[in-house]
Parts: sequence; structure tokens; C-alpha cells
Amino acid sequence: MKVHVRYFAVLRDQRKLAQETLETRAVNPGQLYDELCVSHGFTLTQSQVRFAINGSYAEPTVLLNDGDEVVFLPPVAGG
Amino acid sequence: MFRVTESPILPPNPECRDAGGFVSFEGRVRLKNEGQPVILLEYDAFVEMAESEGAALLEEASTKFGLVWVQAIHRIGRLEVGDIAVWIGCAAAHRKEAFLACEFIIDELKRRLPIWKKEHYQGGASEWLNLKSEPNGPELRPSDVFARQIAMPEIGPAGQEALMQAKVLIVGAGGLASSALPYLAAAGVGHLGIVEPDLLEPSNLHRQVLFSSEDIGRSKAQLAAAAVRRIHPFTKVSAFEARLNADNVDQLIGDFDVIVDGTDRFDAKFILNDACQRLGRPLVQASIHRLEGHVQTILPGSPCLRCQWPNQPTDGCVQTCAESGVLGVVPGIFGVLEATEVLKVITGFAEPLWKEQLLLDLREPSMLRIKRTKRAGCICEAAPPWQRTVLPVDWEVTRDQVKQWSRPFICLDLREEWEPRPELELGQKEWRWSPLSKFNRDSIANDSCAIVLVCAHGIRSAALAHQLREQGCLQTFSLLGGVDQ
Ligand SMILES: [Zn+2]
Repeated sequence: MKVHVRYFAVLRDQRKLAQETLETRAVNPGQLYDELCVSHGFTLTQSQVRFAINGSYAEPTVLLNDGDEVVFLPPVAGG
Repeated sequence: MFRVTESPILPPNPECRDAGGFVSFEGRVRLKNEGQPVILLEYDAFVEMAESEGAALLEEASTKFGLVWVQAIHRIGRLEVGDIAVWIGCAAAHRKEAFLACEFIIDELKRRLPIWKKEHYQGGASEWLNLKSEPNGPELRPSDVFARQIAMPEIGPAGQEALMQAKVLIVGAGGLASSALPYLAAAGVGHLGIVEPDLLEPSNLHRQVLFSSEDIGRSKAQLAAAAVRRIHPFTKVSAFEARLNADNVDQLIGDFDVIVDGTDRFDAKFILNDACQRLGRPLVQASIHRLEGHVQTILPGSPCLRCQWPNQPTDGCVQTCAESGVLGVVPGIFGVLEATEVLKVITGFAEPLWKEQLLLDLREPSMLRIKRTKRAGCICEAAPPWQRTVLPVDWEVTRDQVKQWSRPFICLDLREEWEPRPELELGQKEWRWSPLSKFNRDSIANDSCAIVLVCAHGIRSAALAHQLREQGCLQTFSLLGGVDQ
């Protein structure tokens, strides 16, 4: 399954990319994040990150479909 | 500490043993004003308001400069050349603070106090001048200052009225507030509150453009308030030198209509979120990270911060601005976006971002809007319903509308004694003068016809019409834009 992933804030800094299209076996955004954690060394755990699928906030356990756009939203507090 | 008097001023003699410096200032009636010979001067004031504003100012100066004694007296009535119009005395441990405080007080007195002076020149001419208008130029009128904004159909006089009645609190006087505050003040928001415990540091200056390097070490809340006061005289500003916490939040936000998050800590953001949901206040929120950020508006009952983050992130889970750095323009842009959201919430000219979050990355730049969803069982389910505090109203009438009325009506002129009071011909059966400061509801109890309230700019009249209508006087209207329009 192919998904389009967008990274924000600290995740974008750590991935050194704003977005990419990936081939994955993950069935939900939580699993996808865990997969990418290993390959890209993200420091935040899955429970510290929020997800959006196709423009809406979504739980980490919602099923992914081919072609979905997944956004990873780490906490941001600067002001 | 501060008083207004009609008798000649006798300078008091301070008794304070712990003061090493005492500075006093006398403002006197001089022979000439801008080349014109003055023979007599008259001062008039809203005494009650002048006394309360004056007391607040002395309190502020006392804290700001660490004074051990301070007093000020303003004389009103008729004064002759050479008379003392205003007297200020400040005592501090060291002379520098006493000098600075004395200058600060006289500058601010002139700017903030509702005191007018009328100069009688040789040859019989005379003129009323608002003290705040000199020496910087002519007196300001809201209808001039906000003309370009009122001209927009999205705002109009009703929107401007709503802004001038609105009370907005910004928590945190950092990068976000540096741009949000001046725009909110410039737009004519009636009352701005600023909550910030910190003193200005050198590392603030690259992004917090409200401040300048000569103010390092001074209270950011006070500095921000002073900067905002310089814009125009129509915004009341309150500075709270406090750190927001769960114990003081209700008291701080209680008096305000809209709350703006200008903080950089998760705990503060969640305290604000929870209190705004509990008390039914709209919260405009932004957070930034290096070159990007997000902005959203949380209305009572709309998806809230806890819907987004059921596990509250802890401060320290991601790097702060101090650790990861931030480009100065980024909080500037998000502060302006926050101000825009506030204007939408107050005037309703467009839907605020109350169901979505706007993410903006300034590198590409790219923008993303994400729909927020409500979480079952979240605190926001119990939020009291929110209604825009000031709605555009249909009882504000234009001159043309009134002229076409077939019913009889009275024009009730609310302008004060000290204001020029030209009258209008609108087809009224009577033009009755009833200054707002002395207004008594009984004075219109026997009038069975419609009453059109008028004042200079349509702001006081709208407020009174609103109040009377709430008391059941449904035949009360307000002349839109006032007489001066
Ligand atoms: Zn919620």
C-alpha cells in the first residue's frame, strides 16, 4: 500500500523532509509511525504524537487505505 | 494619592525618612500657547474617572520605580497665568528613580486623564483642548482613526462598536503578543489585558519587536502596555505582572470576552483551555516551532485542546524556542493570525478557525488545514454555550432612515457640557439635551414616542440604547456614526 506522509515541527527536523510517498505494510497510522521511528530515529513515542488522515484528526488505530495522506503532528508549544 | 481640586494647589511636604531623593514638578499656566497670548485658562474633567485613573497611574508608577512616596494634584476651574495647574511629587531611595517617575507621571497624566483645558486668548477667542492632544497634534476622533476599517462592509459601524466594547486578554507578552497586541489595539479593541511575569531579556529582542534594547530588565507586561497605549487613546490597557496558573486563571480571564494564548508552555496552554471551556470564553491559540506553527480558535463546546491531546504533552517533551531556536518573523506572522481570529470572533465578519487547525510552514511555504474532532467524554462537552457578546444590531439607525420615519420622535443629545454640540435636522419633534453623565431613565419615562439617542460618534448612544432596550425601552434607537460623522 502506498501512502503520502507529511512531517511537521520536530519530526520534520528529524526526518529532514517535509513530505514523502511511502510503501508500507502498516495497517494504521500508529503502526506506520512505529515503523518510521525505527528507520528515522524519531525521539517521540507513538503516544506523544497525533495523527491526521486526509485532512482530519484520526486515532492511531484507524485503518489506512491505499493513497491516504497521513500527517504526523508532534506537540508544539513555542510562542 | 491623586486628587482633583478646584482650589489653588498648595504643594504638600512629604514626610519620608527612607527617601534619598525627592523630585516635584509644577505645571503652570503660561503666557503663550503656540504664539497666542493666553489670559485665562479653564480646566474641566470627568472628576470621578480622572481620580480613579490618576490613582491607578500613581500606583503603577509606584511599583514601576519603587517609590516610597508619591502624590499628584490636578486643579480644575478657572486659572490665571502663573497658577499651578498640576503638581506631582515623587520620593525614592535614589534620585534617578524619583526623576524618572516624575517625568513618567506627568507624561501619562496628560495622555490618560479625561481632563480638558480651554484657553482664553487676548481678543476674546477661546478653545477647548484635550490634554492628550498636545504637544503631538490635533485631538483624535474614533471616526477618523477607524475610517478605513469602518468603510469595509464586513466591519461597518456595528463591527467597530463591537470592537470598541470588546475586552481581550493576551496571556504571555512574547513573540506572538508582539504582533497580536499592536494590531488589536490599532483596530480599536476597547480593553486589552496583558499577563506576563517576566522581565525583558536581550534574547527576546530579535523577535519581540514591541520592545527595545533600552528597556532590558524591565517588566514586559508594563512595557507592552506602554507600547500599546502609544498607538491611540481609545484602548484601555491593563498589565498583570503574574504567571498564569490554575489558581489565578479564573480571576484573570473572568473580566475578558476573548482570550489569546501567547504562551510557550504546554501547562499554560492546557490551563487556559480548561478555564475557557469551564467559563465559556473563546480561546485563540497558536504555537510555533522554528520555521512553522499552527493557529486555531477554540470556542466553548468546539473541539478543544484535550480533544486533540488526550495525553497532555509535558513541557520538555520537545525542545523550546530557547533550545531549538526560532526565526523572529515566525511568531510575528502567527501573532497576526491570532489577531485576525480575534477580530473574527468579535465582529463575526468571517468564521473563525473553530473546527479546524491551520498549519503553516514558512519554508515552502505550505499550508494545511486539519479538521478537529470532538472526543467523547471530553471536558468541552460541559462547556456553557457561547454567544458573540456584541451582535450587530438593527436598532442602530442612519440619518437617512430616521428622516424617512413617519412616526414622531425625540432626539436625545447625550453629549457632555464640555463637548461642542451642533444639532441636526432629522425631522424630530424635539432636540433635547441630556448629558450621559447625568442621564436619568426617569427623564424619558413620560415620552410615548420613539427616542433616538445621539452623541458625537454613535458609541455612547449605542451603549445606552442597548442598556435601555434590555430594560424594556424598545422604542430606543441610536444614531449610527453620531453627529460628527
Ligand atoms: Zn475537548
